[in-house]
Amino acid sequence: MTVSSDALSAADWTAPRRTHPWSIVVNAVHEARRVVSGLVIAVLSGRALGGGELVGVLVPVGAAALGVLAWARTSFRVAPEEFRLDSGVLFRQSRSARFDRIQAVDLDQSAVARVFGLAELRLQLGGGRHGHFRLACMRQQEAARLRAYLLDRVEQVRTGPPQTTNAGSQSTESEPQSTEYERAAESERAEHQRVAPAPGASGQPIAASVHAADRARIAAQPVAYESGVPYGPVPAQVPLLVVPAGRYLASLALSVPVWVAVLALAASVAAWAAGATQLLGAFVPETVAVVGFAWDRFQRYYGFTLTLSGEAIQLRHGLLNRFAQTVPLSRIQAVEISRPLLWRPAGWARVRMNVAGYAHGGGRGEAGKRGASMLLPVALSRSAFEIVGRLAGVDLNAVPLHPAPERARWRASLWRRGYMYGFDEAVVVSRRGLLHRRDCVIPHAKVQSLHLVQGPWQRRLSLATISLHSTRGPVKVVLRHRDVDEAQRFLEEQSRRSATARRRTAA
Amino acid sequence: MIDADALPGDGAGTLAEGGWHTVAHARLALAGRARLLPPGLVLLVLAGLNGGAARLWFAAAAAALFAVSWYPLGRSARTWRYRERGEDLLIDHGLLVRRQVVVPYGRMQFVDIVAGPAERALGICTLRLHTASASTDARIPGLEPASAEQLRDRLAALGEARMAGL
Repeated sequence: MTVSSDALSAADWTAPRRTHPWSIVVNAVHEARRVVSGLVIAVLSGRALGGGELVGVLVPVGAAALGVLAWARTSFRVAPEEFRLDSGVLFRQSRSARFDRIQAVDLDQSAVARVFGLAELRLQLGGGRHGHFRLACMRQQEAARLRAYLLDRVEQVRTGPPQTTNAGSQSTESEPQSTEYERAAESERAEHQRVAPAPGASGQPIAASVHAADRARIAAQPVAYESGVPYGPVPAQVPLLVVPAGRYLASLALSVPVWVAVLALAASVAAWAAGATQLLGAFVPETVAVVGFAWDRFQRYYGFTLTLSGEAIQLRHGLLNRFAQTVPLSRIQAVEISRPLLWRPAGWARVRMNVAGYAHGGGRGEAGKRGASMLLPVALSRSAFEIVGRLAGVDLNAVPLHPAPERARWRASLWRRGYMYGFDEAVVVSRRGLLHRRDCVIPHAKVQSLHLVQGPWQRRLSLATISLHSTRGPVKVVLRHRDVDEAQRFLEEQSRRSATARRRTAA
Repeated sequence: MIDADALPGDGAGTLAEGGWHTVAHARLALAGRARLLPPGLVLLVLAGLNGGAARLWFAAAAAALFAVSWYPLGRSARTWRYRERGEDLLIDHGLLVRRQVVVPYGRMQFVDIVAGPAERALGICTLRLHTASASTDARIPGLEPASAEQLRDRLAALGEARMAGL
């Protein structure tokens, strides 16, 4: 460890600190989209009243002054029990996040932030729309160190003081902490530097390194490390899976949004070439939206790397906006392996998950709506099943699947064959879909509640549908059109299985 | 407040066979019907404001609203029942679409008691159970406030004892 990286020891986080000055610019650019439209309206309306130029100058100057003020009034520090963020110009706000409430610490790098070598920390506190903190922006390495430090503290609170380093030596209290922290920080930093450079910037384009790692190295990775070790310091973190750029592009080319985007673009161009300006007016906004969506899809999960590290998985992805996220295995609530029709010939699958404690629907970027739910954007379905099986601790191919009864064809004539479910001592698996096949996996201990629903038509046929509820997310586990006696029995047994599994996890 | 004894067959909290509890279904049905009053009144006012054929149509719609839903509301209110079991609470209801909900005590995050104006006037309330899942739709309507509070405290204690991390 070099002197410069030692300069910021654990103790330094306890003093109030400001974010990096460049974050004013980064925030300004982020806000610009919203501001520009307001500015245009202000200038135009100002021009109508006279003095539009004045408004055009005053508003940006005022906004810049506000930005500087907001930056100057924002500070953060690490208190003994919590992380604290003070902000606000007129209305002062002091928010604190207790270490035992922090669910995850994510690192988010928008394209603008990357230009300045900055990164944003995001603390996930679980639940609610305001369940996360954004800490914009610090120097990339500083952010990575703070993240490692916070993760370490969170882990300590969760598991008690680290046993391994304490054993035998009666050293001062801060000693084991700081060594844990340093190890964590070092590994975090090393990894960050390995992944972070922009494609082409370091002479080692990401695409090339990804191609070199074209294979899922599943067998080489031990499943779990000794508990009590923080997420960071695992000696050799071989990625479980790196999504090759070529496969990722091909998978996108075989997805509906991209086709819609291409068609919209073609229609717009055709309309323009034919000189049909009215049509163009109708097409262009949709085209912009659709192409933007497709582009977002593309850049968001580019270079997706999944690493198993101790009792957590690490996800890193993004072309322009880079994102690093650590999800403890215990917080994954349910997983869905989906195989769209167009991917079936190539044998690809997408894996998504429900993660507990992620604030949904708030905030720009990854941890917003969909970010926290992607486990693998595309992988060979064999690898997908194997990885999901390893995360859940079961062999998914060994779980026997039962099809829906024959008479369900009177209720779902075409799709009946697609409905299957099965369970073993650890998980319930449901499959649905003939064309777009979705396999959902939920561990017994993660079931929140169970519903059994029987519609009038189902009652005539002695059928029933069971839902196993998970936390918010894309995965819905539904067992459709089962025999009603079987469903009733399943409901009874499943509540018992879940109770047993919960007790086992609690112990 | 309406006297509960005046309503025949209002089986609040009766212990039926198999440990099932029933709810005050007569008052629950009345509360459901009371919820039809605002739209019904709007239709009647519209009938009053209009003339000719439109007046007839609006009046007919108001009459149909009550005629069609009066009986099913009574029937479906009768179907509500719940059972406290060792590890979970089981709620069963539904006339046309039958629903059973199982909520483990260890998964309950909090329990609400809510009562609308009609329910308050009739002296009943609804107990709502919340888990970490947004899809959990677990509620027991037609409880008397005292028994609802008892049930809530019991559930809270059971939940506390069995609370499991996510």
